[in-house]
Amino acid sequence: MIDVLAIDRWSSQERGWLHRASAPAKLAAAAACIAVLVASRDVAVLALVYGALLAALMSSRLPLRPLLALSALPLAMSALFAITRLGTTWEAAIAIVEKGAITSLVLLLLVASTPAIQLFQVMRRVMPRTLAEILFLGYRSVFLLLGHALAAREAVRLRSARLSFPTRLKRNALVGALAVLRASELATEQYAAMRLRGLGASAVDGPRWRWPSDLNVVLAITLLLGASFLIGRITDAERFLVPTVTGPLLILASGVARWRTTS
Amino acid sequence: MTHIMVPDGVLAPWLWVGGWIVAAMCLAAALWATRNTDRMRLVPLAGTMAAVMAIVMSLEIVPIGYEPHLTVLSGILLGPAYGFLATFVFNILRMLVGDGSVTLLGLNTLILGAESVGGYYLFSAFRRLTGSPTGSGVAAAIATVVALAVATGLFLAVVYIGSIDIGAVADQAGWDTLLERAGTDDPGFPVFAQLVLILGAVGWVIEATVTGAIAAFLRAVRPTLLREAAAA
Amino acid sequence: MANHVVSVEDLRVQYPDGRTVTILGGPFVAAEGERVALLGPNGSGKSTLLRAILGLARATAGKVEVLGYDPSRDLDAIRLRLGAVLQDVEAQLLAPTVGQDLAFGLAGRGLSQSEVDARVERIARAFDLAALLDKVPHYLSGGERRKVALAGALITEPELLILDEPFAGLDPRSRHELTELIRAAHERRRLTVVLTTHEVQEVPDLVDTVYLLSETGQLGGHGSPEEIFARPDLLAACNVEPPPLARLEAALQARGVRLPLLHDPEEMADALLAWHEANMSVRPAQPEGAVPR
Repeated sequence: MIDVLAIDRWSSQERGWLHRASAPAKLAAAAACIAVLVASRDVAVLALVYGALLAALMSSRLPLRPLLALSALPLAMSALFAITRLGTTWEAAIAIVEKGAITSLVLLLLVASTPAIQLFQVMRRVMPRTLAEILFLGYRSVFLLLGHALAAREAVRLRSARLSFPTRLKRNALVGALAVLRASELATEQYAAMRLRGLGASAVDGPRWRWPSDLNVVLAITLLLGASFLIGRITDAERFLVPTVTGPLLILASGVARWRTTS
Repeated sequence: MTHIMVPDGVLAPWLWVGGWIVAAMCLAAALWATRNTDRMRLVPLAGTMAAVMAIVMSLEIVPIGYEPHLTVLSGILLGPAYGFLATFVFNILRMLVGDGSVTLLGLNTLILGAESVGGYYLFSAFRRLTGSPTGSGVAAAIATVVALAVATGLFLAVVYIGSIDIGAVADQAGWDTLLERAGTDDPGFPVFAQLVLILGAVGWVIEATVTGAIAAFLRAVRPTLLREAAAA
Repeated sequence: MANHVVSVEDLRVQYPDGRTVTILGGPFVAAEGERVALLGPNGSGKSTLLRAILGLARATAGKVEVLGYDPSRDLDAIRLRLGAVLQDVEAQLLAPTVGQDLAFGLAGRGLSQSEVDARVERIARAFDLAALLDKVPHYLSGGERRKVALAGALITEPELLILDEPFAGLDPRSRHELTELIRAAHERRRLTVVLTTHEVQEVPDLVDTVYLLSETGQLGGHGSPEEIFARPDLLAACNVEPPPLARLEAALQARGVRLPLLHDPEEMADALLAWHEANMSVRPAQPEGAVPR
């Protein structure tokens, strides 16, 4: 959650092609990627999807290393799950890891290129009002509480000598206790402020589609879906040729595009 | 930690679609249960508690790297309905930092929501102990261990059932046949289950210690926080 | 560098959200027993420098040395010798009662319970907190919370005390009270103190050395409060307004009235009158019809 500070900054301050696309377009593209990985167990298809996402990351203005590092965090559990499935086939195990990598990267690309408020505005159209309010307040509260919680954690660290594990654990739990205390104080004030500023209104203008920026996203996802479908139809080893060749080409082209826009 | 951390597209579609449907029904029931409540107090508290759950999970407050969820605590403080809603929002907040599975959001909400709802009722059952900070801490700790154990069982059941190839057994009748086929295509499941239970038991104790310490602190500093959930 | 309790030079820190804070120039040093104030506008990096001293922010460039160690790597070696009151005081009040909070920092230091109780009682008396020992610290007033936080930092008898905006949000009486407590703690144990503040009127009474930090993170100059507050050019460059008495002294000096920089308005008035007696030997003529004094 500490990363939410960085993600929030990236989503609101960077200006790549992904940022220019609208929230609905990116949500639809993310949904399409998830649909592919749900429908397919083909290592080649999944490799192509991941390659395309990497190309999207490289061609955007988003910071490469921090985002890739963040996207790799959930892979440990995917790998663990894959290992326990090694009794089946190696392809199945690799596909599991690929699926974990794809989900993580697609979500990060979405949230790092779209201000959260825009995503919430789309979600509010399909969510009951109470749930939407809880979500909005929850997201805001992360920023308001995080600094306080980090300060409490530092205070525990500064004010504690070397102690036994159970004592350290109970002391560290105080960080959570203070966060809850602060949350309870913050909650009522926040809600009052939210109501006063009209964010509880029933009719909310959501973000609209943006043309031609959304055209890039639509074209990219259409090509990806088409390629995935075609690869899925090839049943022999030649299907690995497609991602093996196009993947690096895509990434190379994206890298060049990134270099040209940032230099 | 009973969050299903299986990637999207691994569990059978009927399982996670079913999870979404049941989760949606539970969310609807929770929303219906909130209709005559003190919204001005509980809606923002649910939001801030969802944030607290997300923050505490990421702060590495447990020296060995375990990530406490505080779902049981949220149930204790918010009551079952708002606790369930806060848990759903917590899952979404996790997804917003790339940590979570989209298709499994429904199942994860059900499992973690069970911790929250179960935690509330278990804590209420031990309410006689909550006359002091220590008693509140013990009650919260016991509630946490039991709720997490049940949730872990649910988690394993989901993974176990998820290994059933429904298509292959569709033409065979009988629940027994279904159970016979369950897990047989998945030789890794016993290993996985053992790992989960062993690590899980350690996690239950750690989370119980954390939740108990927080409950004891709150009982000493703001006892109304623990009492008001009963009225929610 | 010998005898310096703190030394910081050309510091660069990167925060988790990607922000980079750079403090150029220096070295910023605090000798043993010295009291140092760091003044500068908001966002100049004051808190970052203090956090680096406490090992809470790892420097990506530059050098930080505290009690001979790099605090970001070896905090455990010096943790027991440090005391701190950070900006977010509430986050530092970690226990359900004031008494337990005061005792919090003494755990794991090999003290018996009776020794802990004795120290708590002693510091509670010194800080006038004895009546509040059973109270919840979060519900005390702002001044009382800061006193509890300061007492909690000093009860461990540190060698170095770090204070980040200790007077923020306090009324004048609480500010004065806190100033006296810090001064008394320093006199008792030759404590090294490093603090940041916007309350410049407290600075002349409280510190031996002032460092100025500009908006761009450049250490702009250092010296005694008298030296620094007599340099309007430096102060303006760092967007720091001198205390009112220092401004008065500078204005008088510009008009040819030379007075020492004094911290007390009464003393300043006496000095001004004395100067007037010494320098104005010719009385001005009385206007027609005026009543002679």
